[in-house]
Amino acid sequence: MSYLTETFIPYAKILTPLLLEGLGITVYISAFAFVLSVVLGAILAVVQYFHVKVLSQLARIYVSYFRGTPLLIQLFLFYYGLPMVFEIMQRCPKTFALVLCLALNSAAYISESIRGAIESIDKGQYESSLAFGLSHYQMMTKIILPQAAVAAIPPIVNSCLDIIKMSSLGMTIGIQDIMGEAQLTAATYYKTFETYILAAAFYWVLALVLGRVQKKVEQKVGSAYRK
Amino acid sequence: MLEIKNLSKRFGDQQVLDHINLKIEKGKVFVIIGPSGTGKSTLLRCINALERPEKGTIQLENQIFDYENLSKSDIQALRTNTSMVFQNSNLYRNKTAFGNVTTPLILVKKLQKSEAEKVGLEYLEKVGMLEKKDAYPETLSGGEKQRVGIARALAVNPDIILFDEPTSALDPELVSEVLDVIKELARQHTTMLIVTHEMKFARNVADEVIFMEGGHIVEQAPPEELFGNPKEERTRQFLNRNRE
Repeated sequence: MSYLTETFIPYAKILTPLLLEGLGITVYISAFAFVLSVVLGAILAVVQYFHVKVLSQLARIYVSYFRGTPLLIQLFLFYYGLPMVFEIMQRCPKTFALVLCLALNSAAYISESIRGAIESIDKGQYESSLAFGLSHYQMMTKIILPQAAVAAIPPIVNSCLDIIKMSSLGMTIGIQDIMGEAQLTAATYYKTFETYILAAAFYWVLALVLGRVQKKVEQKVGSAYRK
Repeated sequence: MLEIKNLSKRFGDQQVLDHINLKIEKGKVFVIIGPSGTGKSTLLRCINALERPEKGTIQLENQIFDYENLSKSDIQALRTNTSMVFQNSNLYRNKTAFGNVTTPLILVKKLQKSEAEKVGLEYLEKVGMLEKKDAYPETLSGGEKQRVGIARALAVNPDIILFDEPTSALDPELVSEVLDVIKELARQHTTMLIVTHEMKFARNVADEVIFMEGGHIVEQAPPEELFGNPKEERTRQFLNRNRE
């Protein structure tokens, strides 16, 4: 008991405001990275699905590279590596570097989710669209993609969760997000356990909130597919 | 009126349909029977260009189409003047029963929304599905899905409706509700081409029965004749195996 009242709670009072500042940064970076990755992921998926010449091959290499190498290396390469070669990159802000790397990385996964969702739609849906004279465009926008979007929600929310957690790598380039604030404070007060427990709680709460949102969205758009 | 001449279709090196000739007059019900894998469904799918035959022509009312050079607008004409009821209904899963019927009317026939809705309700009532108009396909039974599928096919006012084994995927107790709807359509002289394994139904509803085997039309005759006194040995063998 005395540990809780004499050590943990007083320290939490110092740490929490700092983590809240970091939370703002984490949410801000994740939100931008997520939106960007969904847009990019959708483009990659469509390019591959329709076998657009050259572009679909490039998309495949892109997906392979970003899924096949660690995000940390992608980040270091972009933030520390490229400026050595291209001088103009030295002026790249770190937040921008992190947002871009997260988005580029996550888009590779999201494009696969979207492609998988499109391919999961039964062949009969295409046939009954064509048989009644719908154009390819009408078929995709009115019948196939609305169904695929619903199927893609769970994996895309997963990607969003991954972005939030992976954004903690921003610490390595000096970003003051939840993880960055935690690391700095832990080093100042020598309280590693208390710091990271609280930091973990912050991420966890974010994940729980996101889970709630996912449920709400699924309930809304998925009503057609429940018995 | 629909007339097919010399229609041939192959999958790889397998000849699935071999010089099919067929003429269906307006208001008649033609039923195709025959063993599995003899090209019955493929024939239907060739008619609305879901499959592309290598050879042959098709006439729909006054328009003649040559399968060897079908233009985009030819395909569109074939698809808008015929309609199909699928074995697995293939209702649009993201649309209600009502939405399934009105979607082709709005997107393809370019009806006003209010007009499409009027037509939609009319045909859902015709197949006894008015009460479930707001239900999504996922919540419907197999028989109900087929009835909505039939309403969707009727609503576009086609020259002919193609039925691809409409009861084969159904539980036995659901078959009759679908067959009853088709029988009623036959009484009203809806032009239909039906592929089925239901012999009693074929006998009951058909003006002409076609027995197909190995990509050929082996025999075509009115039902009393084809079932009562088949001319071809192969027809006789098939009917003996499928006696109900």
